[in-house]
Amino acid sequence: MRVVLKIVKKALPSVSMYFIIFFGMTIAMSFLTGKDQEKMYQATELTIYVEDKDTSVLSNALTEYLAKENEVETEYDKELLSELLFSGLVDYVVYFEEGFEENFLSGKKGGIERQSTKPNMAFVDQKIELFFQYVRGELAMGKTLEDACASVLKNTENRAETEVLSGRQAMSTRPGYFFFTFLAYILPCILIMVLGPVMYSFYRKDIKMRTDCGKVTVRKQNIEVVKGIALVAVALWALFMGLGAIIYHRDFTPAEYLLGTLNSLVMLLFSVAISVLLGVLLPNVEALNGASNILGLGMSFLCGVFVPAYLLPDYVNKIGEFLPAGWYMKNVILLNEENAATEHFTEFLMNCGVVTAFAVAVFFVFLVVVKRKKVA
Amino acid sequence: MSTVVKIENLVKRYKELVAVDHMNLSIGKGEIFGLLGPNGSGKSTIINCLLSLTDYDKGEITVFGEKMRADNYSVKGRIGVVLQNVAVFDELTVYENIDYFCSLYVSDKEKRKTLVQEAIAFVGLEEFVKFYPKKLSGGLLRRLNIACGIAHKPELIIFDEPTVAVDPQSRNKILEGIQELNRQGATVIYTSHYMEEVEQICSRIAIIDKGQLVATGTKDELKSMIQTGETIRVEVPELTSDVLFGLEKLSHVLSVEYNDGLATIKCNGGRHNVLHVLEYLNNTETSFGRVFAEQPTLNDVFLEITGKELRDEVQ
Repeated sequence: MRVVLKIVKKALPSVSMYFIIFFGMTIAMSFLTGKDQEKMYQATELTIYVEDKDTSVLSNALTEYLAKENEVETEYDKELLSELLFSGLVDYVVYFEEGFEENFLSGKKGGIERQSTKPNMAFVDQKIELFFQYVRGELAMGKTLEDACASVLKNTENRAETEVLSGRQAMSTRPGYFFFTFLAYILPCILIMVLGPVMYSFYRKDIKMRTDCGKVTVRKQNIEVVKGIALVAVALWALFMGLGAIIYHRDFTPAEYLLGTLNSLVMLLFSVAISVLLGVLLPNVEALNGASNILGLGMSFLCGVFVPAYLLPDYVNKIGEFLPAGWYMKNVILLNEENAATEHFTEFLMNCGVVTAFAVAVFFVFLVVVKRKKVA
Repeated sequence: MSTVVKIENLVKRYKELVAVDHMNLSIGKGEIFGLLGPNGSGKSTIINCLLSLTDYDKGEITVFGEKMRADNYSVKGRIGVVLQNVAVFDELTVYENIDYFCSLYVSDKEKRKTLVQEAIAFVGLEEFVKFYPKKLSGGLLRRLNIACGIAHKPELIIFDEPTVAVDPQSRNKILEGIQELNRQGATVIYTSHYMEEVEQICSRIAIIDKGQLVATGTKDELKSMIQTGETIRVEVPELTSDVLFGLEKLSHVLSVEYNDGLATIKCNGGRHNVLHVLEYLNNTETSFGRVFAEQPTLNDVFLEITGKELRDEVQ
């Protein structure tokens, strides 16, 4: 067991990094979802300064048109305008010179000047040009300028509505949700990095030959390795769950947190099983680190860990059902709703059972691989 | 001399390939027994069968008078193994590695501490005890590999090609170490395809080819099994056919070849062969230059018995 711990010690710097990232991400996401999300989304408005020397129907209509989606100011001190533009307090300036409307009606250009210091203001130019096109279109239909402007202003009243989803279909507002969610990524990742090298070292052909020559029975040697692996796995899991309990105990009832703990325990079983299998299958420790990322990230993206399942295409969700993290996440979603996990306790247990079945299947494959290695 | 290892009628097959073919060997206490053969001849398979690391199809292996089985831990405790590949944990230091492998035989921590320190001193790794294997050179790694196999002071030590890819200086140190272990009372089984090493340290040698035992005995016994004895090479600028014929007629001369000013005379035993050849050349007023005389090597033995060079199949 001492050797197991020595090997694990070598992986600790990387594990610490993952540990910090995990809790950093979890706390950050929890903090963000703790706020009223609707306040987090705000339409972008520009500050536009308009100086109108024409005071015509057309200039008034265009000013009104711009004011629909932007903040239009006409009271700025002209001498300060350059400074306001430079400092970004004003995004765009429109000057209507005398004769602007006349020029427009006679098909001449001019009478309007535009100014901006920001590079991304071309879309305001486009909006103004679009306004002119609409008015010309209306005039071509025989309307007077007043009617044409009124028609354009009326037709551009509709604004695209943005809605922040709420309820089960939306992102959780329960901060602890992210703690259980990200466990589906971090547990397999860390355990492959920590336990994989242990199994790789002990089952390396030359080392195995040497240890098999020893006076200590193979059974006793295996027990020592299993003890070491169990100790490390349980210690890491307990650390996560302990810190999770300290930070998020208010988000769940004791029964819910207990169910979350059970759910993470079966995920731990699967993570241990996949770690020991990869440890005896892969040719070196570098390959194990690669596998840890591929498996951890791959499973997380396919099972709705990083992107909620309701935002993923159906076929991705179908693939997720063939992965243990998919079933783990079903339980996390139940935990996210108040009392859902306790009310759907049978479903919750069944999901845990599926993850356990995955763990048993992977462990069985591990035994077959070890047996085949011995025969070879 | 009591028998330490007895292999009777051993057969090991890998599907169609017969890796070990009805092998019989007997190794006595205090011997350095060499298993000599080209790569793929079955040396390592014999060792794996002997250590019960692999199953075999037929035969019986007895070690220290007991039938060798994978679960015969009392016998295993008396054997030390130094395998061909360096088998150590990269995550453990030199000291920790030796201590771990010693712990597979010795559970008493205090006793083990002494044994580990003795093993470190024996292989000369005192300055590197806190080093990790990745920081060691190839030669030092081999020494660590040996220390891991011998720290528990086994009565029988098996060395499977311990000098592969080792520099000459480290190789000599390893060979001297093996002889020292033998002087301290250990019986040694040494496999190699380097005939010079086997000839240098082994008291008895078994020559193996294609899984079969070709010959066994001391190096002198093996050499006496073949017709070729001493080989004499003489630089002769001109050699007439009469003189060549005369050389062939000398007693104990097996054959004479003459190529590019060099006469190669092969003898089968006899004494003072060089003297007789030079005397004949003087008598026939044949001028000659440098003279070389070589005793038969194990390669000659292998060549004569199998019809192929041992060197042809080695690196």
